[in-house]
Amino acid sequence: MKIETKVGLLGLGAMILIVVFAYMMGLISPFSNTNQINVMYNYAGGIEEGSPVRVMGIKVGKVKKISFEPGYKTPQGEETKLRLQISIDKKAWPTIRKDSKYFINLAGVIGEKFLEISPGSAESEELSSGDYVRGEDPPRIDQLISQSYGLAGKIIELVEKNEGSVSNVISQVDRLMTNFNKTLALLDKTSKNKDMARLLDNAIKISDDMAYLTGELRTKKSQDTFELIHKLLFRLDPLDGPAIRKFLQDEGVRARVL
Amino acid sequence: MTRAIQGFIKVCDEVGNAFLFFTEIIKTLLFRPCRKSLVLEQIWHVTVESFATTAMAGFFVGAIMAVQFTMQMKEFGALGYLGGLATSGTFREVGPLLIAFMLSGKIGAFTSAELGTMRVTEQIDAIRCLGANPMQEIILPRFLGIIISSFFLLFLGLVMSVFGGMFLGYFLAGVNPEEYVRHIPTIITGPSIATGLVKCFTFAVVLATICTQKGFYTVGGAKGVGRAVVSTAVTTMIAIVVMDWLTSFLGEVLLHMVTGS
Amino acid sequence: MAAKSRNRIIRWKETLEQLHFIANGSLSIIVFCVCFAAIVTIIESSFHMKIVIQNDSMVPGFAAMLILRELAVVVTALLLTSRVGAGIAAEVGTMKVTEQIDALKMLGIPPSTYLVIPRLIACTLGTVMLVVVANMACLFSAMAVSNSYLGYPPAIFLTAMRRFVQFQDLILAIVKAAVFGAVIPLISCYFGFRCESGAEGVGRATTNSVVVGSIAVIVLDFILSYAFSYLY
Repeated sequence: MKIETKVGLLGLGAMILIVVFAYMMGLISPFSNTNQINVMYNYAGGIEEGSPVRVMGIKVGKVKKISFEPGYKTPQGEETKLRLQISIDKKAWPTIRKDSKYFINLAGVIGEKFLEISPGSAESEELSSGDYVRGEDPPRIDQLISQSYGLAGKIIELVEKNEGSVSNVISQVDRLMTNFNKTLALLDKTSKNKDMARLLDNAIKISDDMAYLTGELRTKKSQDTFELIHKLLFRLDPLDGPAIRKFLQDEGVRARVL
Repeated sequence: MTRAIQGFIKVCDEVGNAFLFFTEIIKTLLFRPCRKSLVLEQIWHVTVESFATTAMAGFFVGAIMAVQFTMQMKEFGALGYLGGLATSGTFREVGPLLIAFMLSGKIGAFTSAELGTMRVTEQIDAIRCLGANPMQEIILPRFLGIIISSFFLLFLGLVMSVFGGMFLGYFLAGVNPEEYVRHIPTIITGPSIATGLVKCFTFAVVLATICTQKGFYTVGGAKGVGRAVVSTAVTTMIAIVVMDWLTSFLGEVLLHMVTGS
Repeated sequence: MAAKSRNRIIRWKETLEQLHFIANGSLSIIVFCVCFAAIVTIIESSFHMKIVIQNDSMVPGFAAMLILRELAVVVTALLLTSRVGAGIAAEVGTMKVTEQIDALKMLGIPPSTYLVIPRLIACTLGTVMLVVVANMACLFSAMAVSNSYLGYPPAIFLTAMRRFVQFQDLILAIVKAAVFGAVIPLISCYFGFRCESGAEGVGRATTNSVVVGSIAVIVLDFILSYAFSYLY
């Protein structure tokens, strides 16, 4: 082999390896089979170019480009100024529908940020490549913290302002507790009293009798009695109003006479 | 294909020659008296010759490691660990390797050039004619001298690397030297230092064997000396890299055996 | 015609031969050494990680970073210093000792350009190529080792690696390689031209060129790392 060829081979090999490295780093992806969509955010805490995109937890693409678009408005009229251009593998494309949602999530030991897409329902339409969709802004941890700081500050303020009344409330609650304790102790004592015990015994007997009584009521005889009364009432019913009135008037007359 | 086989045979030859030479030196060491004054002279000679070089190399190796670690540590906000991590990384792996590379260039090339010149100018044959054993008179003192002094020099380089890291940590990352030193014992433990020392010793033996062997068997005038020096440097480096792996691997195996996991 | 070819500043044929000697000749040694170095890096950094953060999930990324930024370039450059640098110094030194350089001067050819420029170009190009190959060989062997030793398959290795290194790391490694590749033949030729007579002189010139070359590589590496640390 000529030395020119050998040197040339090495040089070519080096260039190919550079390309391989670029491919490994995901800079170029000639074999990829992807579609693109634009996800709009107002806040995208920590997402970087190259962050992974996942559907149902499986990596299907990455964030290609992040750009600021001051003038963009969603069809609903909301201003969203941050555009994340993401590429999604065609394999996962059918699962992403119009009603899919776009979250920003955190994963891994190193705390890598990624874009999670929830699968849409099968009824809604598929997206087409290059569509604009609205992402769900992640909760801003910093705002949350500052809000909770504010809340804590207000609580402290409240306590400090009403220091006298707060301590008053506490002492009253304390007194209440002691009284309650005393009451409880009294109750305890009374429950051990002899009269009390008799009272309880009697109560138990009464309740036993009551149980017997209600038991009787459920027997055949009482059922029959009930039936009879019912029939009687049924027969009484056709005696219409005028007759009753008459009867009552007669009675009334007799009463007056008496 | 035939060339590949020839190349393989050449590699085998090299390894075999080195081993034979090593056993011969050990034999000489065991059965023949060794003149201590010659050894001491060699130690002094080699150490003085390479002191500044090694110290400088060590300093910069430490500084380089500190630069690299600083960037990472900043990202994780753990600059306090810089001292421990950079020193540990330098001590256990990068330091011995790079400083041994330096020494193979310095001591190895120097010794093999000296021996090669002796061989080419027929001084070695003259010694043999005088009835002395060149192995005993020339090779043995150099072998022992190089082992002792390069072990010392490697250790010196490692210590200098700590200073280099400290210096850089102070100027680049703003880590206080006291803090830097305070975190060193948290990560570096006995086994780490032992690994570093074992590596230094192994490299010293490899270096001494190869450079004396290459110098001793030089042929072919001024060109031959040049060739001997080049081949010493290259062979030593390869041997050092392989030994580096071997010591790390054995160290790991031993650690597993000791901890029982 | 002969005069014309002699007076040309760059001699392509010679450059190509030097490139063959530097790049193809050192390829196998460098790939071999760098692979071993990568294996050691993985083993050692897993040891460290286990101490500091109790798990070794960051080892692939960390090792890849160390390999790309330092290890592959420096090991390659140091090996080239001792193989190529010493070779050039011995060659030029022998020419000096055997009075070939004086002969060149007699012929009216400036020996510095005649000998140095082909070597300079060849070494710069060759080092760049070798560093690219070495980096990739190193990464692949690191990947193989982390698969078998740590149990991280290549896909995980790549994901972890992307977190730590970017494409520009390879570019910066190439810049470093070009600088080292230019410095090595300059130092060697300098010592070769100053070679004193005799076998001893050649030996000393070779030794000096290796020593100064290695120191220059380490110092330059420090300076470049420091400078690049503002670029990341």
